[in-house]
Amino acid sequence: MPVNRRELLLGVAAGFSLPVKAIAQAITPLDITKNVCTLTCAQTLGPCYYAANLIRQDITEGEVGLPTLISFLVVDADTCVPIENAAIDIWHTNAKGVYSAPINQMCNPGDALARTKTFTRGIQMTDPRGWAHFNTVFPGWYSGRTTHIHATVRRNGSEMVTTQFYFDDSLTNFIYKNHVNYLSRPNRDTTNSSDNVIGGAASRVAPFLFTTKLINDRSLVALKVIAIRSSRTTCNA
Amino acid sequence: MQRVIKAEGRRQQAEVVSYFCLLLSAFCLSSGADCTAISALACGTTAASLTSSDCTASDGSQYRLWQFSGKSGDSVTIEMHSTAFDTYLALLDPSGVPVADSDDAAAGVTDSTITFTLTTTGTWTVVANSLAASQTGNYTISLSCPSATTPRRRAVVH
Repeated sequence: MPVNRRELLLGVAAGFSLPVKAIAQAITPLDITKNVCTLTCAQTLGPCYYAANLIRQDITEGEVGLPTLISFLVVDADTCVPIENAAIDIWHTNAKGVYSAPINQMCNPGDALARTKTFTRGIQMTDPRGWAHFNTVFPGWYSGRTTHIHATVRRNGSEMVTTQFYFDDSLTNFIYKNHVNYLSRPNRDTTNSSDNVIGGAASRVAPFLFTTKLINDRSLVALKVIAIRSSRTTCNA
Repeated sequence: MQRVIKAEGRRQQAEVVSYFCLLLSAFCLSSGADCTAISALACGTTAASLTSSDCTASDGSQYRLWQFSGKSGDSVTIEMHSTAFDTYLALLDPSGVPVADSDDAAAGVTDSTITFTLTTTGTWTVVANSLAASQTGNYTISLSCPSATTPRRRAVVH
């Protein structure tokens, strides 16, 4: 029987020890108010993009996992002014580390059902204050990559930047080892410090890290500022 | 018309906490007494204080949970104001799914505002939080409840 969101939430709370304060101490707090206008550099598109063109805030399509709200603030890197009507196109894996859509089979190996779906993909436009929000689940991992979320930002149909964003390793490890929907695969093989896209050093991940708030161990919000220019970003991480 | 958002009285607070613990017994046992603190959020403005003894989020920031009852279709506005720290608000639906959040209500303002149309009937949770770690102090939190509408009086013909 499929497990719904409520059941999984209760399962997390009832079944596992959840030392929030230990996690809080392990994670270096990030202040979203600092360096918000630093240009967001590009990272590889990767092979798993699919032009689903789904404009929607809730991208779960019934997928189970830690409920996660991702909020992006898009600003002008030169003026720090929030940018309205920027399109943010994101895509990531489900809790099992599988991408949806009929794309390169390395993105959903052996999962024919996933190839028929479009879960955890969506587009949102930034509001007058520059914010865009997605309701999703925390992504699972697959071999060779650290946990990540892809994003492309466009203005008036033109790509401004394509990049990837990451979570603090301590938080990711905690979720994989404690949440019912990730417990079957608790030990990932790649972290931020060993990920080849990031570049193999923890210091290189800092500009791409979400600020995360795990609330009562059952709800996650992730915040990230994306700073763009009026033309496509050329810096590469 | 009956007020659609029912402000829960303080006497109900213990019941809310008990209900939470009944559902999430291990959570209540494992996360410490501070994280079981859930206050009823009444219509209007409530003064409160965020302290180091409040619940701790994964970024090291403190938060306090507030709950109110609402009906599907209700539009509510939640505001958090503080001169002591940069506020952050999140709204969780009755299943605990985060559905909305707010850092700054406007440019140059560090207060937070959420306006949201409830998607289901039940007990909703507001996370009153500081944006970053080590930010505590006094704040106010406000819940605007849909105002009661008075039925139009019919003309009486004698």
